[in-house]
Amino acid sequence: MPTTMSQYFLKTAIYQGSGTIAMIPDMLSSLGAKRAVLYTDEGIVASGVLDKVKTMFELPGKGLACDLAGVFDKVPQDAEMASVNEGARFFRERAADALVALGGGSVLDFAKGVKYLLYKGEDDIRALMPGNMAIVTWPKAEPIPIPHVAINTTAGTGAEISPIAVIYNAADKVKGVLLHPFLNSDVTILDPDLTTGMPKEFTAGSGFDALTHAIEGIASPGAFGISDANGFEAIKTINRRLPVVLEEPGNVSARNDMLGASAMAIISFFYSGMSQIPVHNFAHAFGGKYRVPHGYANGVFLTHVMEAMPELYLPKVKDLAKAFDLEDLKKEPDGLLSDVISRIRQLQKLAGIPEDLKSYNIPKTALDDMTKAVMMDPSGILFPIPEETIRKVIQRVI
Amino acid sequence: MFLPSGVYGLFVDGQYIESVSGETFDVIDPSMGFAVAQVAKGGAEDIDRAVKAARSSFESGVWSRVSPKERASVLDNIAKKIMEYAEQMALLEVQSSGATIRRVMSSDIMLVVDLFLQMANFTRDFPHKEPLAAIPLPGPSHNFVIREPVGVCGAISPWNFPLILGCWKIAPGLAMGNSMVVKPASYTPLSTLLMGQICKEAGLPDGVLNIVPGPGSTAGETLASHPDVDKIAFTGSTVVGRRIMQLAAGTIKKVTLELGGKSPNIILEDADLDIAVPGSCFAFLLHNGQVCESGTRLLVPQKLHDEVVERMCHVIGRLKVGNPLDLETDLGPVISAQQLETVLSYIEAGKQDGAKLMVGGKRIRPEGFEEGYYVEPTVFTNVNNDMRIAKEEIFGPVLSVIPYKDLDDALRIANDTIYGLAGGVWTKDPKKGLEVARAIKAGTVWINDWHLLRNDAPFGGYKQSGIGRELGHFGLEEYTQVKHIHQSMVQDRQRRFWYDRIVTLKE
Repeated sequence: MPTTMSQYFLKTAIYQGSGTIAMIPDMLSSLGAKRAVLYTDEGIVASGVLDKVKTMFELPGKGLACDLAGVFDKVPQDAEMASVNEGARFFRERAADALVALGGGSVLDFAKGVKYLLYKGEDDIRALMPGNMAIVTWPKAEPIPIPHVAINTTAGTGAEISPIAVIYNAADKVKGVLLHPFLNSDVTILDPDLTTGMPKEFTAGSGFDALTHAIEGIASPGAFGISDANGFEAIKTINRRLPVVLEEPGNVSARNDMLGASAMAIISFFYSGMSQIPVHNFAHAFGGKYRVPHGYANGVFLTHVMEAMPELYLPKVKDLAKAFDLEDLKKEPDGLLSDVISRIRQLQKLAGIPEDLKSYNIPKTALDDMTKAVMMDPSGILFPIPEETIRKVIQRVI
Repeated sequence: MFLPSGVYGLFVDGQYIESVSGETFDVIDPSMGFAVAQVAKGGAEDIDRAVKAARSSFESGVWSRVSPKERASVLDNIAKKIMEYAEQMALLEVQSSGATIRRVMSSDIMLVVDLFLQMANFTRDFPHKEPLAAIPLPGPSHNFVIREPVGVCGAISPWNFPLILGCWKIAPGLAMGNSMVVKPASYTPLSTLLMGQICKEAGLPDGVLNIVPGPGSTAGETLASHPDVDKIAFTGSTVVGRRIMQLAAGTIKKVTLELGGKSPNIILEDADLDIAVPGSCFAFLLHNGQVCESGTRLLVPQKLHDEVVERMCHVIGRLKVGNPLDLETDLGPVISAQQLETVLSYIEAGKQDGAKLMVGGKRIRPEGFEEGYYVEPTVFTNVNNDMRIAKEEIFGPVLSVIPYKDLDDALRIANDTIYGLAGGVWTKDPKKGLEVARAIKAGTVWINDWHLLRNDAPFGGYKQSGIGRELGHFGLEEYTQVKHIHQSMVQDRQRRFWYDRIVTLKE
């Protein structure tokens, strides 16, 4: 292990298990909240998950713990900036004092954007993210005193515990990055009962999002013991349990494991420094321009990037192969990497994630523009991918 | 409030109605000695009807299950309504209780308004649900304690401060979501009956508050023993309190009792007599001493005895006793002819036991109020703590001055009583004041003052002065039941090792 400084500062308390949504109102009360606004999206409303959580605010009696002051159910895909402003306005109109985020990555990041805006006392998140970026770090960063509970309904993202939010600038067609060590929730509830009704494509996309987090974290030069322990355990769990949840969506135990894996994967990804995350670099660029969902895009690009830049993955390939439960560990590194990639392709097939983005009808002529977009994306600032490599990868998917 | 016959009706299920028997009784103005109102006379059947209305409203959830916040806003409305009705309310109170209009307008009404406002605020901040900390054993669970209303609460209120002391029960009882049946004292039901209309106009659902005046021997006993009443709250004498506790025992009702007192008022040698003298007069003369926490035993160091007595008698000699509706009047009548007789008989007993009458002692007939029940403010010296006037609650303007040798002697005398409602000490030394305050066995102790009760401070008695507390969050708690809910978070059989302690459950 390198001796360069690493850091691990995770303020979120994690409560995981079947039935844990019952604790939400009391958790909020304990944080000093009286009136919470719940942020979610239409999918969560339609699936009935919102009603399950709302009931917890009405039982065992109305007004006994923190009240629900309002539900903002218009969170768009990718937490768009203008809508974040709207979310903060909604919070103020309801005279609320706490946030609850209920959903997947977009909703969870959306709530972080709203919280940051409220904390700063502003009304436009764009003004707080010049160049679509705001990076505030510890120890300069101060605690944000707005009670915040996050409930992840997908087993991907990890946004329920990560102190970072990806917020979409629709005008610039760029995914902006907001980072603050107190941006994440105070309490996270990982209740597998909320994820059993998730459609297969979400299960697949979010599972691959988590897998990408773990692999990029492990391959990052900033990886260290704490991030790797989480990363390898995440891969092991996803490798074993993703096929189960794809096959049996109602398997609560496997769903619970996937929720845990997703949280572990983000620890690997975030705390290894995020300085070298090429798969995300591609996924962000294509998500920004063509609105390819983030987890799905990660799933598509993961194997292509691993093949195009093997040097990133070879140093830990034996541990990777072990994490994927591969039997023949005696091969040379190249062979092991190729086996790992094959195993990922198998999972991809099970999950119904294609190896390309053909269904998005991206014209071949977009190659130059998209190469530029990948190069310009904020996630690539610390690790510029060689232009030739970018072109090679893009050509394989469009 | 009025029935077509001009009689004040019983307030049951949101309506003023006649009693089942059709009987009525008179309310006498004690300053005049004649009837000023007729009231439907509630009996056992009327109480039963009121309890049914209360039960039905309680079980419907129309009040018991609305959010505390919504209940608090109705309490706020009640406070506003009392202000609207302040003049009518004050006149009813003066006419039936003999209180002076000066006191009722300047303090009673304001205190009741403040009571509802404060109870509303306490309700908003009350720990209706308290999560418990996670502990490692036996296994993961989510535990919390919730406060639920008790159910149907009976309240029997006294005649000395009918509005205030009735509301000491109504406000917290309603705040916590209970339904109530109130039996006001037969001498003074009018202001309480008006509360029915006020609460209804303020948005309280029908059936939640029911008010049934009637004799203690029928209405009161039925309420205290009714099997469908979950709690009984009473303010009054220790003798009646004992009876109510016995009646409540039949169905193990929750009981709060706020009973009599014979409170010791201790002047220390270093006291500032410029405030201690008028303060000690205030302590035993407010509302003619018809106040449970009155300072009726004045404990004075021997060397200050004569000076204190002389100065007090001087103050008392200048008091104006008479028409309670006159703003200049200091003291009105006592409540009834019977109470007048009781007070006079205690004065006689004091003389016979060898106490020295320094001032007062006789009935008086103020001009124009000759038939009213007036008695002179009275001070006895040379009193021994074993005399009846020092041991028993007189509920009249009669003070027993008892000299003491030293502080130990004073505390011995102070605590030598079956009562423990209140006490007081006058001193310039804060340390001594606090030491005496701690040593007096009573629920309320004043240092350099008297009678100042706060709606946020608990009031109630040690010893035979009562059980439970009224006012503040302590008072609210008396109208709740505590429920612990354990929600298991252990979803796996094998982690429920406690089952294996008894039997291995095989499936």
